[in-house]
Amino acid sequence: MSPPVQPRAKVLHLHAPSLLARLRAREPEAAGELFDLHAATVERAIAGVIGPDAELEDLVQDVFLAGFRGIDAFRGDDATLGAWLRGIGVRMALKKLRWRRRRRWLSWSGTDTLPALRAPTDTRTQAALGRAYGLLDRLPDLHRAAFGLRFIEGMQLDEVAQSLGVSLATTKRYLRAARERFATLAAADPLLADWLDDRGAP
Amino acid sequence: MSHEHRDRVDGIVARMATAQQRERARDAEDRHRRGRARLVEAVEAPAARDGGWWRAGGLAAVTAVAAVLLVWGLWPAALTYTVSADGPQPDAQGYVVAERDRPRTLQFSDGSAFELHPGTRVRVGERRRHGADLELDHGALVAMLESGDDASDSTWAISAGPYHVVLRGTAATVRWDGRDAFEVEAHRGRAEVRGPGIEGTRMLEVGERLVRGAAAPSRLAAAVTAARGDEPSSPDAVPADAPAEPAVEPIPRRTPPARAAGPDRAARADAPAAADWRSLARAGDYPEALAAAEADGFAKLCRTLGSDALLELADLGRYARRPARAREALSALRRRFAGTEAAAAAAFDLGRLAGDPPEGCAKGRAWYETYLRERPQGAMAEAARRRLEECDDAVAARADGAP
Repeated sequence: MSPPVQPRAKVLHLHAPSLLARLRAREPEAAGELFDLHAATVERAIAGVIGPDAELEDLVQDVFLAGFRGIDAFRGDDATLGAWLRGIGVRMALKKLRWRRRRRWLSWSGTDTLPALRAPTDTRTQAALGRAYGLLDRLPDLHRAAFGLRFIEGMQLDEVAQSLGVSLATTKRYLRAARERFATLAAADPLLADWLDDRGAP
Repeated sequence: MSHEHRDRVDGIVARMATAQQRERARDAEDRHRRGRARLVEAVEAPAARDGGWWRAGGLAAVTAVAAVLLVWGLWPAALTYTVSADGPQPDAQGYVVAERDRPRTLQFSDGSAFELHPGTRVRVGERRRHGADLELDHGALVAMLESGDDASDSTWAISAGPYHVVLRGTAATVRWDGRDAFEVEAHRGRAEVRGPGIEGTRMLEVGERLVRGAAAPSRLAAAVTAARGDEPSSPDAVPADAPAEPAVEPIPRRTPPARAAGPDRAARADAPAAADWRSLARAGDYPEALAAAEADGFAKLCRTLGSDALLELADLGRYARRPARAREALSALRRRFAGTEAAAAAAFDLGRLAGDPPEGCAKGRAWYETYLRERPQGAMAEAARRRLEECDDAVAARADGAP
């Protein structure tokens, strides 16, 4: 069986669609590729806001699902997908912080939170890190997020600003305020002082 | 902050950073694999569920209609098909496979037939009185249909990965490698193609071939050549050093018929078609895309484009660093589509175009307030509120004498 023989066909090249186009076409494998490309960025952003956390993996998952489902609202291109997801991650992490804060307030529990560290650390380091993250908990959410993203995760200033959806000037103001406050609180904590005197790695 | 305090903070932060990095490095690969699998599964599931509901609803409706038609004795018989005996019977999922060394044929009761190229895997889905749906898992198939003109109620459709082809003629070849290479050629009549990289629907005319996948053409061409009965007989038989495709003709741009006009317009109509501003924008060539939009008549585009396209045009203005053009498109959108979601988004974008707070507060504030008034629960509402707060902060800081 053969179709009718005809002169060589005119070829119309369909460019390989961009990742964004495939995401908009709801290709599941495109979601996998998106994850491959940006999971580390998103994880780092969330950890910057909430620290080591047992829910980190779930939050990363939520970010990618939200991104995949909301891809039609995304107005950038392939090159800006990572920054967009990072922004979603930061917003979700901030929401989680606020939710926990409200829950703690309702349950009258203390403010100290112990980081969910699974990598081997000694008890003293665990305790000191717990105190340090406890101090972060006492900063306003946006200040804490800026502090974590910039100083703990080492993000560039413009990345921090973009992730928080604020200007560079505002980011700098948050960072200055967060650092001052953190320093004041840390100065009053004897356990952290002892810990710093110990030159061993955490 | 004293030096001692600064060192103290730096020390604590350094240790927190190390702890976080160590934590993330732990089981990183497993975590990634797990997260990826979860995500792909989750995004596949809703589609299946939606399809399930749709199918369930469709099934109920079809059952009801069938009952009525049976009573009247008018039940239209769906086509049946047979598979040539030179290979295994359909597997448990209903897939028909052509072995790697020989083609197979799916013969339908109306005389239509599909030739499966060696190595092809395909499944017949819904069958109708005049047509059927085929799902091409991978491989190439040649359709030879008995009745396929536009006027008839014949509908033959082939899905191949993310692509969907509706045959509007009587002969066509479709190929899909199961990953990303895709090709359709209309031999007799037309073929309608939808999928990634195609805006809306692409209608292929006789003799046109649509190709996706840069590495695939020679193999794909071989499949088509084979479909015509020439050598080689199988895509896999093409040597690795097979000559590249001959010169490729670009997709012709649809130019509107020239109205009675002066020599300039006539000359433009005769000139080689310029690239489409949207294609250029999507390819990331923003200055060129904007130049193309301006050549088409920017003001005319603002008067005629739909709301989504106007947002795209505004984005193009922003990316090409021509904010005045972005504003022009957004203002047209707000004027022409007042009260819509897109108009509200345009208000937010106009705010953003004024610049980030605090510098952009003077002009941007009114736009953010407009957005919140029009869409208090909208997708940008939180961002608009935050920007307004930053503007308030800036005013307060200025009142406090901050730099």
